[in-house]
Amino acid sequence: MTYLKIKNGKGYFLNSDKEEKEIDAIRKEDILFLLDCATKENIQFEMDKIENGNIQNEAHKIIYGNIYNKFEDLLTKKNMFLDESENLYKNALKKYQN
Amino acid sequence: MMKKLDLHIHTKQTVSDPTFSFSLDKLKEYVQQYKIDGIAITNHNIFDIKQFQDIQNKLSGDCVVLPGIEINIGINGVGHLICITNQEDIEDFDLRCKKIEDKIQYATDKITIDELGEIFSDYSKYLWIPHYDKKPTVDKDILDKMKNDILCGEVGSVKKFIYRQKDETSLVPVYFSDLRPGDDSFLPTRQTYFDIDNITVQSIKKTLINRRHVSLTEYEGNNLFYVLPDLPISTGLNIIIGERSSGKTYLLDEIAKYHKNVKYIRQFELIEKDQKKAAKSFTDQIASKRNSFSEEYFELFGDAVNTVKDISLERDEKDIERYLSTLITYAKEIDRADMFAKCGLYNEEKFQIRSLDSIKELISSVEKLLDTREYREVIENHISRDSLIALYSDLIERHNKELRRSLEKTWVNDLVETIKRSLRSSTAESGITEVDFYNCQLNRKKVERFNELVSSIKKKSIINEQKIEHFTIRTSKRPFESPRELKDFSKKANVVFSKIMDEYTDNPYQYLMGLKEMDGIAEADYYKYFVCIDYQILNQYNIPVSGGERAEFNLLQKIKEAYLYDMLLIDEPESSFDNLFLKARVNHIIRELAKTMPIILATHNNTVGASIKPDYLIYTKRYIDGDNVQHERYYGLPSEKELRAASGKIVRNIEATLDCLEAGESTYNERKRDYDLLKD
Repeated sequence: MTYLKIKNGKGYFLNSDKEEKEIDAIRKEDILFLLDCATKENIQFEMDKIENGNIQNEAHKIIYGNIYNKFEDLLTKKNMFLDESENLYKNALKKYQN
Repeated sequence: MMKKLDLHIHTKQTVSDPTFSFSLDKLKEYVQQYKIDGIAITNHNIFDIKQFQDIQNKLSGDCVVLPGIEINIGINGVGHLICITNQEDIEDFDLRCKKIEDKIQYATDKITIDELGEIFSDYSKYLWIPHYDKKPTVDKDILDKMKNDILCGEVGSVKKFIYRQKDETSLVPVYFSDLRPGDDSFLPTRQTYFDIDNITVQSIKKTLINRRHVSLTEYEGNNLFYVLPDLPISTGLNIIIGERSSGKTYLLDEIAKYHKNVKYIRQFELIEKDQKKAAKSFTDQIASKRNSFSEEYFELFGDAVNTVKDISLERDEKDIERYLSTLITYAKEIDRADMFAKCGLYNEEKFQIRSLDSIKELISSVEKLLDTREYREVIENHISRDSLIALYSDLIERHNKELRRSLEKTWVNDLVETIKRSLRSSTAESGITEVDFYNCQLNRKKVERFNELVSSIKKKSIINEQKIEHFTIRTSKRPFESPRELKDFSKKANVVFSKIMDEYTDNPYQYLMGLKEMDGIAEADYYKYFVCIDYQILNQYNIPVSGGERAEFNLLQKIKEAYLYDMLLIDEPESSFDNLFLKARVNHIIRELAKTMPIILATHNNTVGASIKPDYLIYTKRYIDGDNVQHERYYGLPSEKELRAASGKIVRNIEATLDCLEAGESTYNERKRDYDLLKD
């Protein structure tokens, strides 16, 4: 699913109600939702790339670009994140579940 | 002929001694009172020929005095080794000892085995007695090097004497006073009997060839020792019988004073005066004994609490909020921004530097697979060694690459930071604050997993059961039930848990944050406030124990702890426990323990006295003649017809036994008749 989208020269994001909102309306809760989606193993987290001036709104370009870069960086580390969170308190959980 | 010897006596205070002032009169009193046939003067690293001769003169006619020295020797630490020679050798011995004296200035100084060899060239001339089962012991390597000349070893207690005496592979044990006779010295009953005619180094050495020729009393081989100067008892199980007020407790008290490291279970000691208090203190005691188990059990949880306590989701969210607001503001103001703020590096973010822990862990795991000898075969059944080596080298290569990359990133970050600082100092525009998405998300994941962990740890369950005889110590866990319970657990007056009780139930992470804000709860203890540990002692029917059973449990525990001591004294257990329990549970434990150490049990009860089958009998009797009260102690084997006292008096064994244990012979006969009738 595409969580960060570009259309009509503007940037958009998907909120937790699966509504597309303009990127400059993004709030902390939306980032947390996107972080959850980007780090879930079974979710294909897709984003539209900025290219050929597909965003004309200068402000959107900066906001979208900045957030895009951050998520792109996070996605390159998704496996590391999954490994790391899989191992969190693993021994403790195993011990106390029995 | 049995000779009573004490070959370890100090008469001079040296750097290795506690403060004492030698009294020759006291030494004379000691050898006379205890009828000692021979002693050796063994001062630390010194031989004083003049003092030795004075002692010899003073004790002439009382006992033989041998010249000796106690030498500091060792490889790593210091061990003590006694060297004794014959009286005729005194001049030569004195010269040799001077060399030792020169080398030892401090208590920690020592000589080497080579130096010993140079000083005492012919070991065979001397009697060598190392501290063997007594501190400070002589290094095993030294014992091995001198094995042809060391024929016995000094022990520190009767218990150790018995142990070494039974073990044919160990040196023949000898037990001496290590006495420093001063005016107020307490005179111990620590001497050893040797089956010899003359007290010379050669005859003592000759007798040491047969360990049965060395014992703690003049008779009955190795099974007896002097617990008091005039009272020999068995090294196994001894019973003191006697009517009430005949001096049984007095005798036990006297023995307790005479010996160190004695476990004494006094009469009525285990009876509970206040049931409720006793139950509480009993549980607390068990809890403190089991504390190490709980600590170990909760170690992993404690680690988790430690990592989570420093996470602040609130701070993370604020960072995201600030990032967004500065980003949006910056984006909207970009058109108005000056040339500095428009520079690419103005808002450049730092590279995130990741830790290399996980790859390091992988490398060390592969190292373990490669290094193990024990399981190599199993591993190689599945993975070839070549593949493992290839994997190992790939991982190292990857690690180095990542390390290089992270060093490069650090270098770039520093550079960018410097440029950003100078750009910002030249503009009025606000920059975009930084936030680490990865870290924020990982923190949230940690909290999520932590909450999962707490919910499983809070589940009610039994975590351990330990059997002790017919009792079970059950350790279980459950959630705390109320703020009151948490407060009681904290043992603190000024803490209030009601404010965070909802979080305790629904959101463990928030509860932890609440604990952090409370005063008086140590950080290291946070983990203890998540789950309540209960300890219960159950009887054989798995029911929590009653007051009486608690006392039984305590008795068994105390008897079991006694193995750490050198002697066990028990005063009239029947006054606190019923016969069935004593017979079924206690007697056999005492008998087992008595195989390794002396036990003295006072009783007037036939279940204990007769059915426990003692090795030795002591009978206390009080004689009243007008105003004059006299106590007499008779002793002997249970199978002997007569018991004798040190004064020479004699009583019939059967009479003493029936008087004390069966309320007299006639009562016994009557009762026997009644039982016979019942049987018919």
